[in-house]
Amino acid sequence: MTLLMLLLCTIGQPYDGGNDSFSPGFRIGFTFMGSFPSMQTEKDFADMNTAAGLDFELGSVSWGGSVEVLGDLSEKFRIRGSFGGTNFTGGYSEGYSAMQNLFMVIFTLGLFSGSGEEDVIELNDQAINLEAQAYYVLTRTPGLSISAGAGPVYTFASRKLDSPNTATSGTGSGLGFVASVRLDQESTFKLGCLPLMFGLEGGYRMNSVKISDEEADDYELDFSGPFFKLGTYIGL
Amino acid sequence: MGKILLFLLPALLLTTAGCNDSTYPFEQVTDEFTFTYDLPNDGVVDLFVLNCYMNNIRTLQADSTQPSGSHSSSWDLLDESAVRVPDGLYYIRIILDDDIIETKMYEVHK
Repeated sequence: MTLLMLLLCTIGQPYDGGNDSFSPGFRIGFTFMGSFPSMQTEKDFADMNTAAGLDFELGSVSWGGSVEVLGDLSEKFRIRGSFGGTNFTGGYSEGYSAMQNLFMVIFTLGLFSGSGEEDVIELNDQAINLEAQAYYVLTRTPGLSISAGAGPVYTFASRKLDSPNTATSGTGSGLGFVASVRLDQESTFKLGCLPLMFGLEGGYRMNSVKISDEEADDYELDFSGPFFKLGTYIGL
Repeated sequence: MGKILLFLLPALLLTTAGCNDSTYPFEQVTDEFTFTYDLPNDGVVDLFVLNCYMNNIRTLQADSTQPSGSHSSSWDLLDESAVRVPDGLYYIRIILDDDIIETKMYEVHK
């Protein structure tokens, strides 16, 4: 929690006090999000590729963002609705061959060499999340609040696997659950006349989706795992 | 500017499309093919074809007792329903006495 406070202090100035009385209202914000999904099936898939002789690399963090609406209903209750997405990737890549390097050097008169990597197999799992969450405000001081909440999350997921000559994709959707603690701080900065607020949220999301395509036979993409979010909100 | 493009364009084309002598660690197949496998000892062998969702779509051999040494088998790119599989990545698992001893990877395309 101390770290969270320090981080917030670096991005926002403390609220100047002003009018200490609570006033209900809504804010809209944009967040940057990182999560650590379980993705056990994709780990098994990566292991199978490794067993087949490929150095298949799988990410461990899923990055994304969201657009959120945050509403203070009363001094103790707050709600949040959000629309966001995360991306989880993996794959196998190779360096350019000696012949390709040679042609690159010759035709560019030595300006370039093909020292880069060529993506041979690309795995891309995406999740679009619709979240609704209710919070209970644990602490509220002028300009700062800490709240804890939970709510449902509906996830639309897709899995895309590309190889040099083929592309396989599947989709699915499912209902899950999210619980989190958030820290919000009012800023003295204003966007025009609109009040600005910074928010930091950490929690756990349980959203596992089965790919519904026949070929997939209920292959599961498990996006469940801890997450953190950093957002900026403006008053409406 | 035009001369620079004249040099760059063939280089980019060759790099991205042509002269691809890559030795991918998987085979690209378009039709029935034969593969070989080595058994370190005598035992019961199973050969399964898995798709990119790790589902068993075809059993090539089941509970087949085989001696140690080199063996071969083939896959006609059909699934259990005798339908040609969609383009994609496929894996053949060689199982000896319930242990996976080898996994082979194939890119199937038309």
